[in-house]
Amino acid sequence: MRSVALRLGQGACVLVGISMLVFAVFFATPGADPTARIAGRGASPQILARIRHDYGFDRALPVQYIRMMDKLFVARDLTSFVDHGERVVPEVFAAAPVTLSLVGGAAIIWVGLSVLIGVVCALWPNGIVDRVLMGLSVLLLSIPVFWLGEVVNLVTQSRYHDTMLFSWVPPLGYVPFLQSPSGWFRSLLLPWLVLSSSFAGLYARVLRAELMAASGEDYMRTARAKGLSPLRIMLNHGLRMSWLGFVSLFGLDVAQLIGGGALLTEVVFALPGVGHLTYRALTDLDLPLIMATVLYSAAFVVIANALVDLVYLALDPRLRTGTRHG
Amino acid sequence: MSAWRALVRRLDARIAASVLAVMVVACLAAPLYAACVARTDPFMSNIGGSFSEHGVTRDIMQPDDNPLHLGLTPIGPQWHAQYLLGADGQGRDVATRVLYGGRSSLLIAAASAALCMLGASILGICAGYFGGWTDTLISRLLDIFWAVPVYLFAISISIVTISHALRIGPFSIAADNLLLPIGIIATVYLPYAARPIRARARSIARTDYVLAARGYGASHSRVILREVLPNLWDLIVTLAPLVIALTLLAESALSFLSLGVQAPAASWGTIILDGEGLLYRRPAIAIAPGIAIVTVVLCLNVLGDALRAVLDPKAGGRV
Repeated sequence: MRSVALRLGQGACVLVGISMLVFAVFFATPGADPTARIAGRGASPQILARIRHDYGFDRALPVQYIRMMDKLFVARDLTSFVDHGERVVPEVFAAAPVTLSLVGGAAIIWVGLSVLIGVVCALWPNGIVDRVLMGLSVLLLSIPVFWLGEVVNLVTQSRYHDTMLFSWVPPLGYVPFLQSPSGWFRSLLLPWLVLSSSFAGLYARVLRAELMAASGEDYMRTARAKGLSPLRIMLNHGLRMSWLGFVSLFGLDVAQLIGGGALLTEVVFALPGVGHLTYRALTDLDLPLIMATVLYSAAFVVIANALVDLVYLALDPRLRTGTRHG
Repeated sequence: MSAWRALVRRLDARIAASVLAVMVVACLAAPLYAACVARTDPFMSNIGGSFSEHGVTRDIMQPDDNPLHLGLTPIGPQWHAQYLLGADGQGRDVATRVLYGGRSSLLIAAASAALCMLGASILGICAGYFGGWTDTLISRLLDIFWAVPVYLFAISISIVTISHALRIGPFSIAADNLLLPIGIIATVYLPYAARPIRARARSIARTDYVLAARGYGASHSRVILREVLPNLWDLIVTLAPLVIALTLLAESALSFLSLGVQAPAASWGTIILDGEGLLYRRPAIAIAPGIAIVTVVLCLNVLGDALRAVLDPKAGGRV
């Protein structure tokens, strides 16, 4: 437990560091001066001066930083520099469920698929099934996700939309779960599949490698000697050990995706998620929104790392005594 | 050398290498294709142009087939020397552009992978060999970098550098310079390559032969060059194709978001972006460069797997 608390403490420090870094980089970026953006084109010097004073841009940077953090976390009324009066915190909270639905569903699909492929391949290594499935995994790994999304759109939205197969596909966009559960499912099914494809390929390969490595271990030989069926050995003994590498990979990947890494899928399928929001904030050079989305994203990575540590402890009792491996 | 022979004996490695070679040669020959076969300029807008086929002259931009014939659509694939894959929204030959785009994509991918491997080797060897606070500092920094979503990180750097020309002291790099995407992509994948190199350098630093060399009074630089590097070489060679595959994907993604290669230059990512607007009418524009990307990345991954199997026999059936 102490290590988890320590991790969270470290994470908080990392968050503060990241926010300061983003702040410093923003004000060091040429052409990012928010005053001119807020004032609009051809504003008079008086107006510029007033805006600079009203927004506090004439104060020292540390003061500005603390004021922004205060508005973001305490008052929660930080407003965008680009869209007048648009509050940043509700915007992030509106985008989060979209990304959470997208990533959650995709994660379930890719874990299920990769476990299936990995176990089947490890049961009959180097056979024809193994070769075909591993070839498929490499192929999935090699497809750019945004291109796959476009091709899926082409097939389901245009060419074959009116055939029986794809008439269920709704127009691009997101349907909230509370508005219509079935619409939510239908609007997300294809993005789920597209987003999970490359991860399914990667995880299947990793899992197969770990299972193959485990099959040489003593406890696997013991299990075989006991006369257990190959499938039971694989599921009860092999998978259990292979989960460790799997979990740490999974934790970081999911955290990155929730934190905005699913950007390309969101852009191609017009889902208004966090990745999309971060992308917009970055292209607009809108510091309050950048700050909010970056901190949100970093927070997920920190939390996921702490969770991975906890799961490690639950999965491998050897770690609980305090001696850590690797 | 035996590893090389073992590699050549593998069918998958042979096929992947040949396909890669064909792709690279084809892209390098793009000017030849443009001049002799397609006879067009891949970067000049050609909306009012026409081309002749079997003595029949046709406009490149055809009126839409709606009742009023409003709007123009570029011609589709002709499966013929000229406009093999049709024209894009500006009347330019798609096949020629895909070849030219491949030049930028492959160049950026290879150069950024080389830069990334160089930086990763330096960081990884320093961290792994010297250990102590050097290791702690570098490893923690890499951890933080690795925790940031790769594409968002790349996008942030591109926006800072591409929207305004980058100035470092007396040097100024224009926004359309290919050095920018190369540097950005190399930076983003540093941790990916540096972490395994660090782990290996760390174990090498504790071997008897390194200790013996140090005991004889060899300097750090000599030990690194003569003892550590030769033993790291196979890892670097194994990682290289996988890193190129990643950098190629990253380049296409950045260009797709119009933050990589800048117009009028093309890359596979920008052509997919060009084709997005015409996706439902002229899908060939977006599909062709995607197939090129998938082919190259697939070959690189297969080659990487084969290299690993050959250079690291202990891994056995590992992929």
